[in-house]
Amino acid sequence: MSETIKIKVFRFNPTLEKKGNLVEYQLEKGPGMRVLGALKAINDQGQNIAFRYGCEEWECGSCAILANGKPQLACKTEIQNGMILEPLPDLPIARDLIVDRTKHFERQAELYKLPGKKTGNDLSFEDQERMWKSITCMECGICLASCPVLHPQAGSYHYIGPEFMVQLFRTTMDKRVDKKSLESSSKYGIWECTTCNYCEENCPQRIPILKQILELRSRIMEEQPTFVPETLRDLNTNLFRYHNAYGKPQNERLEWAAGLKVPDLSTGEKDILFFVGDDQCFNKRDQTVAKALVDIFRNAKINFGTLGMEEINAGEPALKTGEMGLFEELAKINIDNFKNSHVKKIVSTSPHDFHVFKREYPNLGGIFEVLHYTQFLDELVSTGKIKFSKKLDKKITYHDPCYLGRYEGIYDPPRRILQAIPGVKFVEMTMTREEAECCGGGGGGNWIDIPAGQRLSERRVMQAMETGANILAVACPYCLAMFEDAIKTKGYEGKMEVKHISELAKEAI
Amino acid sequence: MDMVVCVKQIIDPVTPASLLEIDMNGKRAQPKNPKLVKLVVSDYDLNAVEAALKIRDANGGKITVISLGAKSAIEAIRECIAMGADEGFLLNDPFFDESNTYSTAYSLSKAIRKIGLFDLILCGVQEGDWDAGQVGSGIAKFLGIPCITAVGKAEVKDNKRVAIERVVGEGRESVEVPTPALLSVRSEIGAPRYPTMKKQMAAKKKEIPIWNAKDIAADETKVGDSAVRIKLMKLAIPIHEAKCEFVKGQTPEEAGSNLALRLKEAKLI
Repeated sequence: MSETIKIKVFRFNPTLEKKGNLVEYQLEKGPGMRVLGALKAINDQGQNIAFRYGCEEWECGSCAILANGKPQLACKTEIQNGMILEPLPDLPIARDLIVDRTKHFERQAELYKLPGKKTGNDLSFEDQERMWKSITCMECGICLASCPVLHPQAGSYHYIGPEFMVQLFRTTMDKRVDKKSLESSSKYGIWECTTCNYCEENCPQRIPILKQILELRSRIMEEQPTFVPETLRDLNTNLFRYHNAYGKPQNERLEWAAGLKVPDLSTGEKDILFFVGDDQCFNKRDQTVAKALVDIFRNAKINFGTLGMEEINAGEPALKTGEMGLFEELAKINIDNFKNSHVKKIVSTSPHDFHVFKREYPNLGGIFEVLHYTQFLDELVSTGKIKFSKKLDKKITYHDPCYLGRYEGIYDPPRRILQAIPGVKFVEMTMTREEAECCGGGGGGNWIDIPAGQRLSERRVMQAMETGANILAVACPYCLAMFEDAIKTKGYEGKMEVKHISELAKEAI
Repeated sequence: MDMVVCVKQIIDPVTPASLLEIDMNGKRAQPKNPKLVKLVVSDYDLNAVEAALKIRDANGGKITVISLGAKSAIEAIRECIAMGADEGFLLNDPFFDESNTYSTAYSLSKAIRKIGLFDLILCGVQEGDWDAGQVGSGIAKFLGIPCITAVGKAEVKDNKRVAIERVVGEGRESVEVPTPALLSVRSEIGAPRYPTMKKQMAAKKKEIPIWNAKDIAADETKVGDSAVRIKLMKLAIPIHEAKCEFVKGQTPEEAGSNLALRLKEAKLI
C-alpha cells in the first residue's frame, strides 16, 4: 500500500546562490521507504537533488543528514509525511545535502598520526575485545552533528567531539602510544563533554561512546593527574575529604532543615527515604527545593525520613569525572547506610543521584526501589493524595534533564504535574524530550568554567524564551544553577524565572 | 634528584571556630568532636610535594616525606605517598610534644641526616595553622645548606643547580642555587595533583616507620618542651558578637534620617 506524502528538502547551489531554501516535493511512499529511497524517487521524477550515499546498508556512513533536525542515516531512517531534510550542521555546504567534511578528515588524519609506525602487535585478547566496538565506527559524523558542545556558538570550547574521542580511545589500547593519546584527549577537551548522551543515542552503530570517554577520563585521573582541571581536582578532594561536593563540614548538612523538624531514619522505619542531595543541603538557592518537598510530603501525609547528618554524596560527580575508586567508596558507604536504616524506597531530588542509585548501585550490591521526585509527585497527584487548589496564572515551559530524560526515559511525569496545576499554560520548546539540549552541567560540567556567551545553558535559555514562557521549569539542581546563571548573562532577568517543579507544586497546593 | 619533603598535619583550616575549643592548658586548639573535624596536610606542604613530583617527573629521583607530629600524621604522610611520593617516616615521641619551630626544625634536620644523602629539601613556605614560616629556614641552618624561600618555580639544571623564581612583592626574582639546598614553596608552584582513591588505598598498605628521639640521635636539650624559645602565653578563640537593632520611623524618609542620627551617635559616620 503506498501513500502520497510531501517532504521538504534543502536546496542550495553555492556557485549560483547566496543562501539555500527548503523546497517541497510530493512522492508516493511505499511500505518502509527510507529517506534515501525517497530522495532517489524524487530524482526519478526529473529533479537533481545532490546527496551522498554508498553502501545503502547502514555500514559506510556516507549518507548522514539531518531529518527533522535530528542527525541520522538516510538509508536507515523511514521517510515520513512532512519531513524536513537538511545537510549536517556547522559544515560548508558543497551542494544541497552534501557537506564538505574536510575539517573532520583533517582531524582524523592528525589523530591517525599518533601511533606512528606499527611494529608487531602487543594487544591482549581483552584489549582487542574492548577495542572492537570502537572499530565499528564508520565516521559518519552523526555524533559530531548531535553534540551540543560542538555547536558553532560554543566558540571557545576545546572539545573535538565524540567521534574523535572514540578514535583516541582506540589508540590508547595501543601500548606504544597510550600516553600520547591520553595527553591528546586532555588537550582536545575531554573534560568538556557533559555526558548528555545525545551522541550515543543517535549513533547508528550504538558505540558505547560515553563509557569510552569515562574510561579515558579515569585513565587520565590515575596516570596523568596533572592533566586533570584544577576545579575537578578540588571537586574530588572535597568528595573524598568531606563526602560532599561543596567542601563544607558535615555539620552544615542540616542547615536547610533548621526549624522544620524533618524526621530522620534513626527515629524508626519509614516508607520513604528522602535523599536530599548535596545541592539542596548546602546551596542556599536550592534549599527551597528540599523545603518545598518536605511541605508536599507532609501535605500528602507521607511517612518519610532523611538520613540526617549521615547523608553523604551519592558519588555521581566522582564517577562522571573518572574517579571510579572514589565513586565505589562513596557508594559502599551509602549502601551500608541504606541497609542499616532498612530503606525500602528512595525518593531522590537530583536525577543524577537517581541515575546512579538505579544503574550503578545494583552492581555494588545495593538494590533498592528508587524514584525521582517528579515520578513520586506524579503518583501523588494522580492518586489524589495532593490536590492543587491554588491557581498559577503562568506560561511555563519545561527542560528535560539528560539524566531523567535520555538516560531514564522519564518524560511524562514532570509534564503531568505541571499540567495538573490550575491556570498553568504549558508550552513545549522546539527541541524537547529525546532531543532536549543539555544545560551543560552534567559530567562535571558544573565545575568547568566556560566563558559567558559560549555556555550551553545560554542557548537553551534562548530556546525557552522563544516559547514566550515566563517560567522555565526544571527538575535537576545542575539545570537550575546553569539556567539561573544564563538568565543573568543573557540579560533575561525579570522576563524569565527558573523554578523547580517542587517549588511550583508547593505554590499551587 | 633525591628529595625530602617535610609536611605537617593540621586541623582543617575550613573548620568553623564553633567546632573548636582550647585545651586545659590554654595552649592548643582542639576539636570539640573529633568526628566532625578533619585533619589535613597543610596546604603549602601539598604544594611542596607537588614541586617535588614535578622535579621528579622531569629529572627522576626519589621523594621521601617526613613529618613530626601525633600518630595521626601517618595519614598525612600516606596522602603524600598517594600523590606519588616514594616513602615516608614519622617522628613521634613524647619528647617531641610541645615542640616549637626551633625544636621541630632541629628534629627534622636530624631525621634528614639519618635518611642520608639528598639533593633537595622542600617545605611549604609556612604552616596552615600558625603561619610562622620558620621551620624551613631552621632546617637549612641546622644542616648548613642554602635556603631559598617563597619559591614559585623551580627547575633543575644538569642535576647540580636549581633555577628558581621567587615570588616577591609584585614581581619575580630569579636565582640559581647549587644542590643540596632547601626550598620553601608557595602555591604559585602549581596546585597539588589529586590522589585517586585507588592510590589512597595502595598508600594505606605502605608501612610508615616511626622514629623517636633516640632513633634520630637527637640531643634531648634541643627537642620538645626543654628547647622552647618562644613562650606562648595564652590562646583564645575570638568572640564575635553581633547585635541587631531596627531603627524605625513614620515614613521611609524619617526612618532613614533616624538611622543616620543613630549611626552618628555611635560615631560610625
